[in-house]
Amino acid sequence: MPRRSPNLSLPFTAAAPPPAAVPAAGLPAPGGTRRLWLCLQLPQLPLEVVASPGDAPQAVVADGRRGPVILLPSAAAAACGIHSGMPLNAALALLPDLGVRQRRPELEQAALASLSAWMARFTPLVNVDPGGDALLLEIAASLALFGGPGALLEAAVSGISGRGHELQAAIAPTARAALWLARSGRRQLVMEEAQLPAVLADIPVELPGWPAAVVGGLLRMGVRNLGDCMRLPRDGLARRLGRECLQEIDEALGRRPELRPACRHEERLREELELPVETRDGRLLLEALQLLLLRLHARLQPRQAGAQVLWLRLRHHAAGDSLLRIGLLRPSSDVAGMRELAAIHFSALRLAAPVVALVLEADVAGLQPVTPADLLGLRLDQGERLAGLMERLRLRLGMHAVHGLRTSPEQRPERAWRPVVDAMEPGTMKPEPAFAGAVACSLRPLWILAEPAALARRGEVPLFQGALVLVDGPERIEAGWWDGDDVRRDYYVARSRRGMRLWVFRERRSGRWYLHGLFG
Amino acid sequence: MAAELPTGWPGLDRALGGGWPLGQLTELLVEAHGTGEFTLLLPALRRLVARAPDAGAAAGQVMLIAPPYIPYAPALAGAGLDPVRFLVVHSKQEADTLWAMEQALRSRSCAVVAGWADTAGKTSLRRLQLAAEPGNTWVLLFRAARLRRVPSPAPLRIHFMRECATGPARLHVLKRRGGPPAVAVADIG
Repeated sequence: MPRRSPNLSLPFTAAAPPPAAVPAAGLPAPGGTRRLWLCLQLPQLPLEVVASPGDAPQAVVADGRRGPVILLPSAAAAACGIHSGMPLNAALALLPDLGVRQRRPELEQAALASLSAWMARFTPLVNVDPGGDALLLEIAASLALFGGPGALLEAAVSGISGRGHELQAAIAPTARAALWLARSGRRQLVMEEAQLPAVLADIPVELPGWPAAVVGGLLRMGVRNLGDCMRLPRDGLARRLGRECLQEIDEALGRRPELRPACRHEERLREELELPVETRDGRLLLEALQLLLLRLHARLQPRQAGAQVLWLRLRHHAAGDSLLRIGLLRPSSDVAGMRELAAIHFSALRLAAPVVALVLEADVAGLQPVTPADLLGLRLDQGERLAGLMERLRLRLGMHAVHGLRTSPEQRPERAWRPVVDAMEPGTMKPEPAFAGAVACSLRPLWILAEPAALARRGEVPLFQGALVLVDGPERIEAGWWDGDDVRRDYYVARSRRGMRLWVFRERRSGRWYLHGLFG
Repeated sequence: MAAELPTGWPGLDRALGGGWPLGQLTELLVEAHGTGEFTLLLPALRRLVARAPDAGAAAGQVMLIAPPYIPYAPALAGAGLDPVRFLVVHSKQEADTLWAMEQALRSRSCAVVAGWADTAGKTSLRRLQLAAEPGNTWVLLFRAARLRRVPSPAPLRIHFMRECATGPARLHVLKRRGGPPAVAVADIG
C-alpha cells in the first residue's frame, strides 16, 4: 500500500464567526445534548486497497456506461494526464504501461471496518458512512478526555495516515455537514450549528452524490451550490430535489435529526491482505502478517479484548489454501508475541505453492482479569511473559517437551511425581502441600531417571563406574500389589568411586540392581 | 555491579566476592552429572523459590533446560523448594537447548534459567551472555569440565570437582568479574 503524507494541515481553519443576529442560536440537538461529529474521509481508498507499492502509474477502473472508465488515478498516473471518468481505452492510449486495477469494494469495506474498530478508542459511536468512503465519529463527549478537538483530531489522523491512507477531515455539529465538508476537502472545524448555513453555502451540488438527474436539473436552473438551494423557496426545492435530498440538507443543517447507528463489532474478526507479488519467502510472509496483526490489535485493543486462537489462511493460486492454527496460552492482543509465534510456525512450514494472499481470523476473547497478587506470586505481566515463553518452546520442541513438576501421594518412587503439561493453568499453580510421604525426603535424590537403569554387579556388589559402596539403607518399598504394578525393592544410598551419591535398589524377587536416582 | 544472590556456602561467597551474580552467565564445569552440583545450588534456589505462599516478587520460576535427569519433585519438596515453581524443558539437540535458554532469558519471566549443554561454542555463550545482561535472572550453564581450558565469554566460570569420593567439593573459580581466581571448598556430602 503506498504511503502518503496525510493531505491535511493542522490546525484547521475555523469557520467565520456567525452573523451577528442568529435567529436560533443552535437548535437543540435531539435529546437536548450538543453533538459534534468528526468525519474522516478517505478519497484514495479504492486505489489504496488495490495499489501495488511503488511509484508506477496505476489507476482503479470501474464499469461505466460505455465500458470501463478510470475511477481514480494514482498521483503518477494523474501527472501523465490520466483523470477520473476517462475511458480506459483513452487512458491506455495515453499511457500504455498504466497499471490497471479493478475496483474491489469488499476490500474497501474491510479497510473501513478495520479503521472503525480502531476508532472505537475515541468514542463508542463510530459510523461507517453508507457512501463507503468515510467514517463518522461522534466526539462531543470525548473532547475533554482527549484534550479538545484539535488533539483528538491529530490522534485520529495520525492513526489513519500511519496505515497508509490519505484522508480529509472535518468537524461539524451534524454528521452530514462534517461529511460534506470533509469530502469537499475544506478541512474545516465548525463548532456551532448556527454557522452551518454559511459554511455549507458554497458546497457544490455535485458533491453530496445526489442522482445525476437531480444534479443536472439544479445546474440547468443555475443552482450551483447548497447556498443557492437554501435560497430557493422550500416547496420549490422539495419538488426539484425530491424528498430524500431535501432531508439530507435538513440533516446537514441540524434541522432534522439523522440516524447514525454505531457500527457493531463482530465477534469473529477477519483481516485480509493480498500480496503484491506471489511469494514463498517466509520473511515476506511474516512482514505481511505483521500488518494483519497490527490491524487485529487495533480492533482488539479498544475493546480491551484479546484473541486466543489465530487462524491464518495462506491462499495459493493453483492449490488449496494452507491453514495454520496459532494457539496462544491465554488471550492476548500483543502483536510482538503473536508475530514471534507465527515466525516459529513459518519456520516449520513447507509451502506447496507460492502464497498470493493472507487471511487472518480470530475470535474475540476477553482478557483475563488482572489481579494484583496472582497465584504465581509474580506480577501478572511476568505470568503473561512466561505463558508466551512456554508457547514458543512448545512450538519448536513439542507439546510435551515442556512440563512442570508435581508430587503425588504415592509410595512407588516413580509414581511419587508426575509431569504436568498445563503447568501454567491458574488452578494448578497453588503451592504444593508439604510432602506427606512416610519417609524423610532427605533420603530422596534430587535427580531421578525416567526408567530405572539396570546395573551390572560383581558378586553381590552393584557396579557403576566401579564398585559402589552402600552408605545408607536399606529402605524397603513394597507397593502396588493392588494395581498389578507390583514393586518390591530395597533402596540404598550408594557412593561411586567418582564421588557421586546414587540412589540404587535391589529388586527383591530377581536380586538385580538398578540405578534410580542421583543425589546431585 | 550486578545484583548478587548469597550462595549459602560461606567459602564460596568469599571466593565470589558476594554471591551468585544475577544478570550474567555463570558457567559451571562439572566432571560428571550428579556429583553434588545440584546440592550446591540448593541454598540459593531456596532463597529464590521459597515455599512460602506469600514469597512475593522475590519468588520466581526455575527453568531447567535439557537437564541430564529429571528433577525429582518429592526431593525438591523435601529440600524446601516448591515443585510448582520448576519447569523442565527437554530438548534433543544442543542448538535447541541454547535457543530455549535464550528465549527464556529474553522473556524475562524466570528467576533461574539453568541449561545443560556440554559442547556449546563461544558464539552461543556470547549470545547467552548478551541475553542475560539486561535482566536479573540467575543464569547457569553446565558444561563438561574438560572444557575448562577453552576460553569462554562467561564472566564467571567455576570448575566443580572432588578430589576423592568422600571429601568435600572443591570449587575452582577460574574466572570472575572484578576479582582474581580463587578456590573455595564446600562441604557437599
